[in-house]
Amino acid sequence: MKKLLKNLKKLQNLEVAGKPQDSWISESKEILMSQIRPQATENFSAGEGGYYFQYFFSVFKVAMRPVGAFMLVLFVMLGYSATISVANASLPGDMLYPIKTASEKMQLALTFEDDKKVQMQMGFVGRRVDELQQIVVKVENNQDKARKVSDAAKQISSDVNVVKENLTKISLASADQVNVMQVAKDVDTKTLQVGQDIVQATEKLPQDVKVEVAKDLHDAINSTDSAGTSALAVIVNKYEKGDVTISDQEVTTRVTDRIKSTEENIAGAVVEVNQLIIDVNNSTSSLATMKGILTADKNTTSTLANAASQPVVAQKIIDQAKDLLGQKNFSSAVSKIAESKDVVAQAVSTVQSITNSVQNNAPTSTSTETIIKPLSSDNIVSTSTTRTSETTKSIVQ
Amino acid sequence: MKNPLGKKILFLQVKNKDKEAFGRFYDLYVTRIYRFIFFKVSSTAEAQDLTSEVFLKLWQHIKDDKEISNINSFVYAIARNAVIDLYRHKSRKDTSIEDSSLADIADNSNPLESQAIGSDLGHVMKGLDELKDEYREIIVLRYLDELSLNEIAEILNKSNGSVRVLLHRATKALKDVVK
Repeated sequence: MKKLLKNLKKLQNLEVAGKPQDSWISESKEILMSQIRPQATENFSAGEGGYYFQYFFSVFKVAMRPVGAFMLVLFVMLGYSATISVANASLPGDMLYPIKTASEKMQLALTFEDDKKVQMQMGFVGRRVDELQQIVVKVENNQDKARKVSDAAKQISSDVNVVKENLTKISLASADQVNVMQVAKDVDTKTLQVGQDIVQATEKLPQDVKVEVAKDLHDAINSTDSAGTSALAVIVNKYEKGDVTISDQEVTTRVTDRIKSTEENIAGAVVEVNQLIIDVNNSTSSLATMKGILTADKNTTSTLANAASQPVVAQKIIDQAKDLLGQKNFSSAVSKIAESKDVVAQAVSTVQSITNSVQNNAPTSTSTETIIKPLSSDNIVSTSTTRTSETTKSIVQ
Repeated sequence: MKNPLGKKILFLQVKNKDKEAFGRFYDLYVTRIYRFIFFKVSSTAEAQDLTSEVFLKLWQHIKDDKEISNINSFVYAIARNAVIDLYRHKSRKDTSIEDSSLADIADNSNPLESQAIGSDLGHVMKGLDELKDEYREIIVLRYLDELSLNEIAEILNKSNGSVRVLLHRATKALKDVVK
């Protein structure tokens, strides 16, 4: 049976099995369109948005009865465009927010070119970041704030992962190199900005909210970095294959910017690790209890010591990236950047899991023993002449 | 287009006489409608003519503001009726309807392709030729056009359960013939 089905599949592209000739398809389409053009309507009274509304209302009215009723009133009062405008200003958790995201999904569904789809998706990621920034500023109740920030961060992670997948798809499939290059540049530039915006937004969060949402925000930053590094890899790959739409200088600048961003991540990881070390050293828990938290088992180095060494490792890798960049070995430099980011992400993840354990651990007795020394700046010294990190950015200070 | 939401929006646009949407609809459906007709008629030329006619008729229906509840099944219904009309017309003209087989159509098409097919695929083609129409139709819809069972059920105006049973029988029949 498998062989039969396989053979049937092979028939798909054969003319003897009913595949029409491409030349006939285009000729007949031309004739058909010339016959219908005089008869087709040019302007649609509903407007393109009317299709969104028409379909939206027919499909979502059952699932969203309360929202649907509210929306109907709004629509009658304001008309379609104004309704969507109002929805566009909504934030996660607001009544009209599902309309905003449904409208975005429809815009994507009606975009047939894959490259334009990726650019549109990246635009929506930017919207999620704007929403995050507004939540940080506008939402007063900390519990609400934590929940909405967490939702926004998860949405950013999810959307940016889709951008990365689709960029990979079009870079493998597309014969149109110029468009793919433009899309990759767009994603590379925007992900750098998105990463910085997320970090800046979280610096404004109250401490207890920061701790609660740290993991989701880190995931969002990691996903964004990963998409950006993928985009950079596409750019470098096309450049090395002879794409003339990008100069040597521009490739160098983009790789340098990504290296700087990674060094900022490393600096942030160092701050987090040191803070945790201070917390652990100051903890009034018994040493035995702390050692129970910190060691994977009695025979291995403490988990915290491992985490503390990772920023050092990450810096060494990024130094290798700088050296490779100096040699114009762009693709290897980008690989090193990705490797360094993975190490940093691992360190931050370890710090988070230890932080949770330390906070959950009830103090029992006083201990004066220093379990581990904080990292000093001597530990994280770039061997490159270019020191890119001026400020440290941290998620948990 | 695997995107169901995008498809539904496209259908709405087509029903609203959007010519560009109709062009996209044509791109989406031309191969499967052509193939649907191809297996029922005696020549490539007839298949081409009838396919063009199907889309023109669809447009005419839309232009006349006639109700279309399900555009997917409707376009296939037009195709089926076009084939029936062709044979009615032929029999009225007292032209003997040649009992052409798929092998004959194969002879008319790309000769290089015919040579390249190989015995395995040739057996499958002959097997399809020997099946009754109903079985051949569902095999083509499912395995060549790769439509879902839901879509096939809409086109054939049957329940999903009936489609499953029919498909199972058709596949078995083809397997028996090809052995």
